[in-house]
Amino acid sequence: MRLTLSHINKHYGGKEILRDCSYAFSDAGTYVLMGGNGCGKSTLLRIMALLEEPDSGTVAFLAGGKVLAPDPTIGERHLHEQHDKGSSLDAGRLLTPDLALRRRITLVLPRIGLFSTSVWKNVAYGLSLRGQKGVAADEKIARALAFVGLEKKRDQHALTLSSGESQRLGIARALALEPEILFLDEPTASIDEENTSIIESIIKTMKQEGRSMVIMTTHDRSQAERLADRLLLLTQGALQDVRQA
Amino acid sequence: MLQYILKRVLLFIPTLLGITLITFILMQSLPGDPVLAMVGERSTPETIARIRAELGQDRPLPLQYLGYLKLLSKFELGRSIHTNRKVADDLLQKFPNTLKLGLTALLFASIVGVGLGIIAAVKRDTVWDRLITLVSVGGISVPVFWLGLALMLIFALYLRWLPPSGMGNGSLLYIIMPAVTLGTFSLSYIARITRSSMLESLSQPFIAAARAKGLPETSVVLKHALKNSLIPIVTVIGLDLGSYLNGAVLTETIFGWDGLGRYALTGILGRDYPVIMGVVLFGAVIFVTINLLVDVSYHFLDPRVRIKESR
Repeated sequence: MRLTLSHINKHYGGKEILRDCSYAFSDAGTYVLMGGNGCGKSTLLRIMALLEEPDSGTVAFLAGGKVLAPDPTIGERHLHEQHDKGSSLDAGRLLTPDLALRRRITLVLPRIGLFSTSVWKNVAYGLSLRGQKGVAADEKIARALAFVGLEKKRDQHALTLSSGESQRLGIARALALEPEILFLDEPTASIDEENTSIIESIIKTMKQEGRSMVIMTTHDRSQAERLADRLLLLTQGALQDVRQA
Repeated sequence: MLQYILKRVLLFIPTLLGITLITFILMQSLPGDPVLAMVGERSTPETIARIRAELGQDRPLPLQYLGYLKLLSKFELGRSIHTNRKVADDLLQKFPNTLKLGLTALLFASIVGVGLGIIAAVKRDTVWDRLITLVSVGGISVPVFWLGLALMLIFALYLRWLPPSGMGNGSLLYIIMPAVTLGTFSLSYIARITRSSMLESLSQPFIAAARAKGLPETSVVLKHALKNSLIPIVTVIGLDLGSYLNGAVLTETIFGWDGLGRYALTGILGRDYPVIMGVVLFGAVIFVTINLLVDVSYHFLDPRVRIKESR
């Protein structure tokens, strides 16, 4: 799946946050979006993850020769497949096209928002939404937990995990869904060095295994250098391509 | 949980004792004499003294209070000074009417109020939100007696759709106007609380996480956000229910509804001490019971409460 941003603009309370941001995320790998605090990185990530609408501009996903783009005539976050306006089937359930698209990508937020239940059930949640249960789903959950090193804590209550473990659980929750694009918003903010290094190695492994396109934000320059295939910089609301690794 | 409920039930006793003492002192401080109100000011001093003695009101106040407590210990509430009927019997006869009116009003207020609150939160800063805010501010501000009379004027006098007053031997048409009048304030308040509580829930990380995992918006709002907004809403509904079941004096009087509110008003106007004490005590028991039920409901509504309990 490829993602194209065209002339994205966003204002909050009269203040310009994003100004004419355009970019094509076309190759697999890790894209790192850098910028200072409050520069609009998280807003841009939420817009790309279809959790927020831009004031103007379009977010288009391209997959299998089809363009999937927002339709401003429908209203908030409703998308439709321009080339195929029918609904999609997901594990036997009929889904609206916008929801079907949202289920092919996922975002991990800095405030993870764990559910008040076990580690295992937190990971199972997204799969059960997609009607995935039974042995195949259990395997996906176990694999995701093992990938982030939480397999031994599967029965622990999620709200008793440390900050670093919570962040890793957030990533496991996303990985279990096998998203085509994984958005990570400040995945190592407010966690210790040990967990930062574990999460960085998870991201590197994902890249090596070619699991998903990863688009992440960070304000840590050295981390961006370590992880990025492409480095993007957001300054004064404008998006610039800084470097290709 | 059971231990907690038992502890709260045991706390009923000192609470109720305190309420009887305060009500007793307040009643004695009120101007007016129940005996004079009963026999009239033209009665002879001998008659007044005889009746005062019959009612036990010639005894010192502490002894009168202890006498009342003795009565309570036998689960009795005394007899009305004016009708000589047992207060407990009157309360049991009128409570079902108050219960019917209170529950109908609250059902109306809860369903419409929560619905409007959800719409206002989901459609935040739109014309719908502003319209609902306007309606709820209006509902909170309008006096009950004015609303009751206005509804009566429109729906009973002009349109002739609904009966103006009375209880109509259980006909549902008779309860509509009193229930709407009584429930409008709660409806507006519940709508405001639901809106603010929903807005807070919708901004929580787990809601963003649920959306990011592909949960449909209807489920995000109704299943996750609403469930997590319920505690303040249930608290308000519980407090209102407690207040309604104590009798809605104005609504019951305007619509001729034979409930506890009208009974209490008759007691107050006639300085009928046993009636006033009985209504206050009965109301206090209901209020404390509903508060306990609301507290217990938190246990089921919010998993965090369960976690704290188990730690």
